[in-house]
Amino acid sequence: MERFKKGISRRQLLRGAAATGGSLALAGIASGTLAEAQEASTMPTRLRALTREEAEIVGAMADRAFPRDGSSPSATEIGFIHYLDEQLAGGWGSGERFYRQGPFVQPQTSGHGYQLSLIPREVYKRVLPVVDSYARSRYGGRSFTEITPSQQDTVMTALQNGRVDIGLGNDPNGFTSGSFFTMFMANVNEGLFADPIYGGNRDTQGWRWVGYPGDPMAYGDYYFTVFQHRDDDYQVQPTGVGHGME
Amino acid sequence: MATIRHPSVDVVAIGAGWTAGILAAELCRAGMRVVALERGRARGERDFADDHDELRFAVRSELFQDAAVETQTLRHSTSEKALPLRYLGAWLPGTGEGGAGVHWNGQTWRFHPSDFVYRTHYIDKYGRDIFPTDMRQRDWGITYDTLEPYYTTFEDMSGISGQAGVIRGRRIPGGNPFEGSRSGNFPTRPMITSVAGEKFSTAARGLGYAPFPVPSANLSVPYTNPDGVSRNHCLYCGFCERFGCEVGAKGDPTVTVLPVAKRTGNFELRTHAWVHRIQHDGRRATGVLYTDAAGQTHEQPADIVLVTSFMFNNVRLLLLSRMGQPYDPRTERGSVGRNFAYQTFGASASGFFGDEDAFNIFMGSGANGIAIDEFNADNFNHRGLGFVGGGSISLASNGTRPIQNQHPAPDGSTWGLNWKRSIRDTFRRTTSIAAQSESPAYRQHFVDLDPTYNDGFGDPLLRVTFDWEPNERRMVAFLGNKIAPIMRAMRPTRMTAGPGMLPPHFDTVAYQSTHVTGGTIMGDDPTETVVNDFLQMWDFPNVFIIGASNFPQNAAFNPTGTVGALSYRAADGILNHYNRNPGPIRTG
Repeated sequence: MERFKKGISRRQLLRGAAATGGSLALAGIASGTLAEAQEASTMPTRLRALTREEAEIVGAMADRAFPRDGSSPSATEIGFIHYLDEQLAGGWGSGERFYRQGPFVQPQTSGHGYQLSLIPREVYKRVLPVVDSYARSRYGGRSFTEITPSQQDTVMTALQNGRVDIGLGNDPNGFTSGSFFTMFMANVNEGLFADPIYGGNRDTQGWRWVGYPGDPMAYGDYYFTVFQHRDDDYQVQPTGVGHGME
Repeated sequence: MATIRHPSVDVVAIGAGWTAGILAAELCRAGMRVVALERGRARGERDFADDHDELRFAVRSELFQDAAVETQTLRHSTSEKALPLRYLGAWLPGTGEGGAGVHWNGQTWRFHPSDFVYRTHYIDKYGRDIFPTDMRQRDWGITYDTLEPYYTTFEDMSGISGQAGVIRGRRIPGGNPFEGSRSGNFPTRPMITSVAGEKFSTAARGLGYAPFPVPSANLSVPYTNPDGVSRNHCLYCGFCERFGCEVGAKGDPTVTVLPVAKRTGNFELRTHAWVHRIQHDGRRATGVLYTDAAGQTHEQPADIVLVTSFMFNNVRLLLLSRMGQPYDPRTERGSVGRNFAYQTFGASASGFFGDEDAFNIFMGSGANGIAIDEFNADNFNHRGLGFVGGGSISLASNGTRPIQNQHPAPDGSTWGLNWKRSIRDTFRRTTSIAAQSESPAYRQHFVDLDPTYNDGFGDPLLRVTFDWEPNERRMVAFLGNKIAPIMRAMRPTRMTAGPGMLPPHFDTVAYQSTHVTGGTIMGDDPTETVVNDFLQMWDFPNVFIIGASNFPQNAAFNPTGTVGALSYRAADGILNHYNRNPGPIRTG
């Protein structure tokens, strides 16, 4: 019941704010929490799967995928490295729900998907050093984290287009740097938009960026009441499934 | 360890989803003792209180079959080596109590009358040459009129919300004018329509089409079904597909038929019971063998065996148990594994509405949507089009979640600053129209046992041989061209639309549909089909096989309504025919 009241009052507050200040009211809330976000670390104090160097490389990549824009934070500023490291250390990174029996064969036609024997954690740990050495070989020995943003974008594009040899196969239907980039971007999306309980989407800043309200359970009245006024512009402070633990 | 032999029961059911659940409710009520063996865990509403979690359920697949233990292999033709789907992708089979019926969307259709006499209908109207030479479309051996009462029973049991289009031959405004005649209206009224759905309706009507609400198993109003089961209405939270419903508004086996079976006292559900074999003496099944969570093997003898797992495992269990004649694509002899079909997407349009602040695309329900049926089945003239089949065109408001619904920026970028700004602008203001289309049967599309890859128990995986064919490429191109004007009429700021396209080969990675069909098809020919029109196996009269594995080819509509109707048909066959005379109900 406590949760119910909390949800309602929040929403009413937001509605009231939206009625007077429109989107400016929302922007006010966003910038208010931005200060907290800037204080929060982009790098976990203790890493479980990645080395610090790997985390810095993948963090720099994520910050080109979802860069800081004016006052809006970048991917690592809302917890991407926290999210990814936990995922790589946990079930998904360890190959949960992954059929891992051989023989492992490089596909000769499209449509077969992931066919490596590596669990996702091993994929990251194998490819991130390659990304860095690719940058070093092109930009005077400088790490991916040290080159300019536009140079980083050039490397990212080469990865996306499958032009970086990551040594995991030579067939275009196999696991190319483009396949890795797809995996990475899926994780970026998750880090931005998964429920905050997973370490990313810190303070629901990812959800607020796109205007997603989160878990409707948090609003007490659910959407049903709202859906009857479905032509309203529904604006709330987003809340995740962990709302009861706040 | 010695095998544990259980006392014999009247009926053993493999699985505990819609098909097993419906049969269990009907047979237990009639006094038969039923044991259901479910490989997954027990579950229900209580498990879904905290399930509004896109990562855990939609992305990391919590409710689906665990690919680490069992998956399928895929090849595009017999000349290719099949490779396993190492992660689930294109389809998401269920596991656990309620099966995939727990995490479905709830779109509950009846196939068209012409779908059941597909081959005859097309040949009568267009001549034999309408079919490509390698296509193997068949009649079902049952008509819509025969199945109608069973459809009604399923809809009344699960409380489908919709608007009839044809009742006893009379057209009803607001419903689907192309549907088969119904004996009555839906038990509950249609769901509330979204803003995007209303836009679609207006645009479609302006183009001369007849839009109607998608029939939904997400209740529009509180409902008590004929079995006395009461459920609450849908809250439009948008967490249906890939999620369980925490308020029981979505019709699923755990809140409908399974409780009915349980309260009879004649039903026993054993979970973590993995069935490996159906035992038989060559003429009748004698029971099943299964393994429990500790690795102990059990034998459950039964008078009747219900093969009610899912399309894939219905076929796989017959093949592993050496029941029926496996299909051979070279000679086209044999029946088990024949006519694998799927569901064809590829025709769609996406519209961005820059001034729209009220799509509220995160609200909705799995089956909330508006559809048109003008380009489905043979509802339009196929002469000269170069393809058979059609699609159900709809705008779905089924709850858009942010991880899996970010689109490229107008400049095509999928990362970087432009993309970041684009997703901010578009996430809440984008809606799409799509056609879910038919999947015909072909000589070269079938399933059999994989010669290389095994499941976690050492049994061969099921191998799927399937690819897109020219007929479907022409079909989706046509459908895309019909969708584009509807989206244009909705007046988006910008849109992506055009002829529908399919990838060079069927791709197992991107989710498309869990509507896999065939392999134990029904019909009236015992040499080419596996079951008769009561879903009774031709070769083993005490075995009933029920599921989308019975479909000779796949229609454009979601299969569950038809699977539910077939389940009630099988119950009728057992109670009113087989039990009186325990032999073949039909002779071929």
